[in-house]
Amino acid sequence: MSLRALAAFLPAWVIGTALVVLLWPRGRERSWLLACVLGGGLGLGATSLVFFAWGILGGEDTRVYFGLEGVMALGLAGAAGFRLHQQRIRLEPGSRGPWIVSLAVALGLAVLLAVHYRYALVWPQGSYDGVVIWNMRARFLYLSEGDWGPAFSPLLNWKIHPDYPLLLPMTVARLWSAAGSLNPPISIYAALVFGMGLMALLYAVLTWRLSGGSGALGLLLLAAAAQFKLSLAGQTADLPLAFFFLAACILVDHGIKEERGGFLALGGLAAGLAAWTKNEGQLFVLVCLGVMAVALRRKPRLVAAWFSGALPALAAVMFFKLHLAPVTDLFQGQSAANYLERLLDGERYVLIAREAGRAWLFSSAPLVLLAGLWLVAREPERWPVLTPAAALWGLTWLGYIGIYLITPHDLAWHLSTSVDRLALQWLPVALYLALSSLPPAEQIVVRGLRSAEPR
Amino acid sequence: MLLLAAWALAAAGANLLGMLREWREGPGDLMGGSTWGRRVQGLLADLPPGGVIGYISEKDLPGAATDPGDSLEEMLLTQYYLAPRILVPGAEREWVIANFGQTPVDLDDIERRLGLRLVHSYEYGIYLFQRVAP
Repeated sequence: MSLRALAAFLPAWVIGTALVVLLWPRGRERSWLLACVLGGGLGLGATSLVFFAWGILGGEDTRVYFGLEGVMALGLAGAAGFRLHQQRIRLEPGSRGPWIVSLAVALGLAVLLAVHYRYALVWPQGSYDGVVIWNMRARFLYLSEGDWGPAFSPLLNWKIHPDYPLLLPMTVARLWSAAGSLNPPISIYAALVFGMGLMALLYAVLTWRLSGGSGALGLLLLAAAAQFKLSLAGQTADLPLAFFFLAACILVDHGIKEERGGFLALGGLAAGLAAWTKNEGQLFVLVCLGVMAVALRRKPRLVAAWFSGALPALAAVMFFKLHLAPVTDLFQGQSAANYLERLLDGERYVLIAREAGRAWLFSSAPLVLLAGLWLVAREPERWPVLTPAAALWGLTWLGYIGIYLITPHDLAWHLSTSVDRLALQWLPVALYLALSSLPPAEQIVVRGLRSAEPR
Repeated sequence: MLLLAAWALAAAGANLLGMLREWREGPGDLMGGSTWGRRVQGLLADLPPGGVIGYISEKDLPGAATDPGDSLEEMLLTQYYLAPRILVPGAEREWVIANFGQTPVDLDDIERRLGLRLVHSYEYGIYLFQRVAP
């Protein structure tokens, strides 16, 4: 990979990390790892928005663009450094857990990276969806020299999905612009950064809330999910979306429980970036608004904080949907009567329940959840359904089911091509909820060993 | 409790072992997706840099029995390499790409029937035509 493309990851990471440091609530403990990992994903999302705005405004010379981005990164880094110094904030390194767990994580990651390398040799542009949807769009954006019309033309086959939002294609096009050429490994590395970032985020947040052992357990279970590997090699937008879902759920959850505007602003940014990544993210934004309308109904200041974070990405989504994207295939040429007929078809409910159940049972999350529920019977205060994050997970899935019920496509085909990916998008949140409902993994092991001792 | 945790870890371990097996065997090629660029490389030099280009394949030949799904997937892979040009099915455009693969074709008949003129014949059964009749 070109060094210039590699270097283009740096300002994105600096911008994101600085935003996390600046918005993190005062007096709340923080970890370096969580700030850096959250910052990496949020920064890539934020730079994709800036690159989009640059293109919309007719910017042509990408050297000027990257110069401006560098100035922005330096400015934000300076402000973040000033805040850390002024408030004498120390970022904690966080606990790592027992060495045996670290070894298992290292082995698991080594296997995953080896498999990814093997796939990348055969699928340099990703899986079929990776090629035809995501990297295709990046290619259009990079090669169209400022005229983005062809990228969203209604003449394009609907399977190219010109209505899908632009976070991932814009990120890859930005990296190609930095490299100055269509360099295929760049999209492989972009996928790797989002995939590894997602695992690191789950690890960091579980380590922050529980322990290093719980973080490592979550990371291992996520890395071992079969769909995770396919999505990583496929270079699709499901892992970036999963990153923003997890980030938004955790931040909104903490923002609501602790009534901290900073968490909600960051949560709004993550939710907005989810909407900028895939259409499912737009449904998630609506769910966020619903959850906040209930949980924060007398606290407009906190809702405003969420909006302040979400606004840049939501503005980009609105502009994209109103001025560039064709109508989504799910809603093209449909009438209320069409939808009603499908909603009244009982067989559709059975098919959806069967396929969604299969998708979830093949992941590791239900096993952990089962363990969590077993414990909940003893410690009801850990019941995960009562948290805003669990409400976001459950309500978004209800929304997915609603979309399946009204889809104009053949339902069996639609389910078979998407339900596993939807389950993957929410697997990290499910693992977070399941593991959060348990005591730290180290305590479980000690407790289990004690209970196994002869009395 | 310990049993359930062990069960979850065993499931994860089984998946990782499956990945190791795949690493040894390697994944299957994606419909030749990684080599598709080579098939259509020649077109890049002969086509205009933008605009709408027609696309025909085996299914457009008289008596063809090709799976339309395969044909569409190949068209979309071709579209990837030819962006920002837009490919549309049919022979009604100024420039028309034909992807006949291994199927034997009567090029004279195609030219006559569709009002086209053969501009270039490439490897892998790929052809570029230009419209002569309105």
